Amino acid sequence: MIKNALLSIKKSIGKTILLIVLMCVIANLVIAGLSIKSATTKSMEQVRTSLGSDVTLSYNMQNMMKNRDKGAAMNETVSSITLTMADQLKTLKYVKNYNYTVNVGVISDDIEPVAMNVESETTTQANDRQMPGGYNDNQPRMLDENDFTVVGNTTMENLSDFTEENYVLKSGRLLTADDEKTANCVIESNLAGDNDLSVGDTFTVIATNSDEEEISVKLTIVGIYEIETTSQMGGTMSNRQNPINQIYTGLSTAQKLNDSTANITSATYYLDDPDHIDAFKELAQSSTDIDFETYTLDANDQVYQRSIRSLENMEQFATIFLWVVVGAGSAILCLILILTMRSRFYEFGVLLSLGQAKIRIILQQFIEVLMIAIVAFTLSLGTGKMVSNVVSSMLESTQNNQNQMVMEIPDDEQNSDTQTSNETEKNTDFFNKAMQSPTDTELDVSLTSSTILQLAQITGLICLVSVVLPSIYILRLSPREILVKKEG
Amino acid sequence: MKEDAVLAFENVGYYYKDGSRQVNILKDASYTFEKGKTYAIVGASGSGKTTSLVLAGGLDKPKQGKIIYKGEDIEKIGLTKYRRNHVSIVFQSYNLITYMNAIQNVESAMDIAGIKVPNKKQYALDILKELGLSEEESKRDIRKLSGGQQQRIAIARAMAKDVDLILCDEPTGNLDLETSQGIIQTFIQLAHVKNKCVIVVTHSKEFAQCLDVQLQINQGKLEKI
Repeated sequence: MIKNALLSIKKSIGKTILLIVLMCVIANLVIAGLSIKSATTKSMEQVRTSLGSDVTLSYNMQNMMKNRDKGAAMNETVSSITLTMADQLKTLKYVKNYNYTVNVGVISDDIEPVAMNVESETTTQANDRQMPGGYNDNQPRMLDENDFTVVGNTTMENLSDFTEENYVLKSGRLLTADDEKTANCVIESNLAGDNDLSVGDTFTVIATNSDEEEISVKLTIVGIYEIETTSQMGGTMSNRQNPINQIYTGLSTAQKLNDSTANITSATYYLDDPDHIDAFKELAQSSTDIDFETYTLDANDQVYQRSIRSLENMEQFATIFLWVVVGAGSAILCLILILTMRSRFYEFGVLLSLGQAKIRIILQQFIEVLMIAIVAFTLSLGTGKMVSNVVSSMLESTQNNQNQMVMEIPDDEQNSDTQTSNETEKNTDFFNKAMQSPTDTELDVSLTSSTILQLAQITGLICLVSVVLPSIYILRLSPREILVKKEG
Repeated sequence: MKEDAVLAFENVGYYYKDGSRQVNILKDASYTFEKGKTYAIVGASGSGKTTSLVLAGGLDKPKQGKIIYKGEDIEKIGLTKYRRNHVSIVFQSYNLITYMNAIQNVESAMDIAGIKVPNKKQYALDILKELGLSEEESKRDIRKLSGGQQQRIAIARAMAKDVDLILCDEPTGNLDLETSQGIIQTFIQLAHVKNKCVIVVTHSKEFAQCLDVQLQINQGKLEKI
């Protein structure tokens, strides 16, 4: 049977070449579809992983905005996160570590803020814009009156800006849990340079509480960091919103300036695995008394959704594309094989008259198509990568254009009074990451062994379908009919 | 059934529908064919000669009656199995597989029939040589051979299966007189030397007279002339 199949292939070389070319085209398109599909799936997993396994407890900004739209005053709608509330979550399953943050707007008589119109020495990529840390609504001062933001943390070890090396320590050290009861701080190198400050120097910051009383704390610099991936801020931002004017302290120092030991700005929980985010959220809702209408547990969900939107579209496109290719490919192959089989009508009659079983005739057809498919499959492994790169580039280009359009016309959520709302550090990260998402989601379209295996399976399926369907025609034949037709 | 009987028609009937009309081709046809003899079935076009051969070759089923091969109904044997293992058919238009040369055509028939010999290619070549085809001709593109040569290949294919029953439908219809005589001699030898039963359907009275038994189809029945 294999010998006969080989002879037939060799004899009808024109048909064989036509089938090889056609199968090559189909296989290349299948590879393109499969590669894009697997790349988008991989990218979605990477996006989730890159967003980390941290979940932040913060105000539910969306609900707050809705309440504000309904006419409620900001101060009435916003509630602080209490330590009691945050502590309920830190002991839950999956939590590996946690960090509480308190942001306070302060002024200083000892140092000057880095002005907004001074261009930093750092890179100026639009996508790398850095929003400032949050600010405290409990502060009665107008935003512009505070020059600095004191960002108090339980520890700086897990802060994403430092772990992701957006901020790089230049001298001294970062604050650890051991700095909890001290007045140590870490400042940005531009701020240090402009004010001739170095590690070991001290300066005093002043906050004003709700009773208009001034609270001052003398801070000692233990570390100086440099912002690597941020640029000059937009003109509408105040000095304190400039990340250069952020001063990192221990949590207790910030709480003292905030005049509250019970409230914090946000709490971040670092989980053992990004896959446990949803389980953690469910657990938090079921086992704590936190009102999740007012507060929210955010795992960069909006950034994730925004980042994967284009990937999901691409994956959907790849799936449809695959089905269309498999369908159209099988249909075209079926048609060619039916036409070919018609010309081999007489040969089948001869084989049947010799006592060949119909199933063996079909099997010979399948072997012939499979042999051609194997050649086409091998050839397409060489060209498939090229085709999938071209297709993915086209798709990425289209998607990026769409993303740019979305970024140029931000929705309410993005441009809603960032100067007056009480966004947390995570919320600012959201904006940054959303801005970065088009480049972050670049597809790695490569031929993996699983893609090759899938291609082999799909090729086999196409061969099977395109042989079985025309074979129904053979099965209906009786050798007498064929030979009588021939004799006639 | 006689000891030498190979094939027997037992009240075989065959008809086809022409609209609402039933056209009977064979009706209660009975006859027994024996080993070592050559048979000629003669008659006008449409008399049922080819239908008799088609039924004897298991290419179709009779509408009535039975066809018995060595005491067993061929439908019980299974028509495909019967064609594969017990009968060889030589057609007027040779019915060779065009993408194979002569040797490959013969080998292909042997493969289908499951004939096992030490050197299949040499075995095929020997049969072809016996029928007058050179090695070079046996390896040539089949479409470049003459009608007589192609018919010899078809006969070689039938011989290679080494079955007791050989059926031939107008085997000399497309051949010149000299070639036809050579083919007739081959069939006679197959029957008389190799003890085969050879049934030939032919228009040619001259050909028919060379064979041992002449039959005709009269009102749907097989009758000895």
